Amino acid sequence: MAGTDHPFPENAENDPRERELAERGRELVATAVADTSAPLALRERLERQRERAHPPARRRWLGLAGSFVAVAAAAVAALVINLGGASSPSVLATVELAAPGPTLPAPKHDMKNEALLQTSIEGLPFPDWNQRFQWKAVGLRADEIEGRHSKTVYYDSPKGTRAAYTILGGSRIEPPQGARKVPVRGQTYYVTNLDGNRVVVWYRDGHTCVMSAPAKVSEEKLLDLAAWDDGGNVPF
Amino acid sequence: MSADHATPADRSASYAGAHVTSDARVLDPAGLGDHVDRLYRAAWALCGSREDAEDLVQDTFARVLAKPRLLRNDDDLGYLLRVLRNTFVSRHRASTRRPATTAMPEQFEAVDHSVASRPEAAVSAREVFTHISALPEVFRDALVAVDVVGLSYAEAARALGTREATITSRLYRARAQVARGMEPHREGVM
Repeated sequence: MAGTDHPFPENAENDPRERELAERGRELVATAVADTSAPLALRERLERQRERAHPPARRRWLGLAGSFVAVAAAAVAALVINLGGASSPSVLATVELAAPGPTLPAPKHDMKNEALLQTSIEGLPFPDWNQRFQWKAVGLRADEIEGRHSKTVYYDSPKGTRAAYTILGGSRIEPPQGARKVPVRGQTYYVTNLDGNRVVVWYRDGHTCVMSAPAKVSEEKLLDLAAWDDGGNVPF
Repeated sequence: MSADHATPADRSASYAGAHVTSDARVLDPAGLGDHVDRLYRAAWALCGSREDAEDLVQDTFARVLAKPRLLRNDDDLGYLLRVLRNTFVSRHRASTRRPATTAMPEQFEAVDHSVASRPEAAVSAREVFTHISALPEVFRDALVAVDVVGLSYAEAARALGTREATITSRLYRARAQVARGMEPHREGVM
């Protein structure tokens, strides 16, 4: 591991002051490194850059706006999911809504409840997965679709894989046709694939939640995230 | 097989065009996203400025993506660090040939959303990276490779073309200099 294989050169013990400074310096750098991550705008620019250079591989770059739009659009014919009537948006539309990526900074951690972020829709808060899963909230967007409000929080895994978690305001909409039902702790989750992305739909307090992530994120992991209630601290 | 359904190995082979020997492989562009955070920190530590760091990472990606990259003994990160450092040196040389421009005052730096929820962390990280960037080149490179990017001593030695013992010694001195550089400020605010 970095910084641990030979912490001091052989003659370091001759000067305790230098040794103390070196240790202090190591700690300072470690703290700065832990506090710093690449800005979202840079990540998005790099992704566009990479897609321009290697378009055939675009679907393998996950969680990124352009890919989501393309994938979702290509899957329209295969996925007929708007079953909620004329005034209800579809799950697909909800996924598409999240495609352009975040427009706002990540919501802050809720100091009163470690399991939550400081953002909600119609009183229903988003979970904070950082402490439990090391999936960090990295951005937010708010939209309106067919007269309903929606909010999407974007989470990045430790490896930089992104998941978009949208909660739709108003009453619940139907799950996608053909989606597989997976019961987890008494709740039903609907899992389907949109080409290269995995989508999970479930309900919290009468609201529809839609999470989409690259297919390389396992179904188990997505369900683990979606179903996490931290012993009741995340309201369902 | 279509490119969309190709495995990373398939893509690597097609990027290489031909003749990828068993001890060599082609850098998979799809994996670059995994290294953005580390490269950004390294770039900040080299440049001492967030804005320049963003430009440097973009230039590095542009270089890497311009053509297939054959890796022989490097891990991805060690290779990317070398490209980042070479790009930094090239940019630095080019900038010294251009007329000087007025730097943006530090207090007008754009908000760094990655630490925006903890302003004290932003200040501290900025100070640390500024001090790293001001180190003598060989000390700075060792510290960036090991403490900022996270390479092992052996990987850092390979990436920087030197011996492990040299990395150890430079790293030790670099850390001490960073701490020494931070001291006056810290004493002033205590």
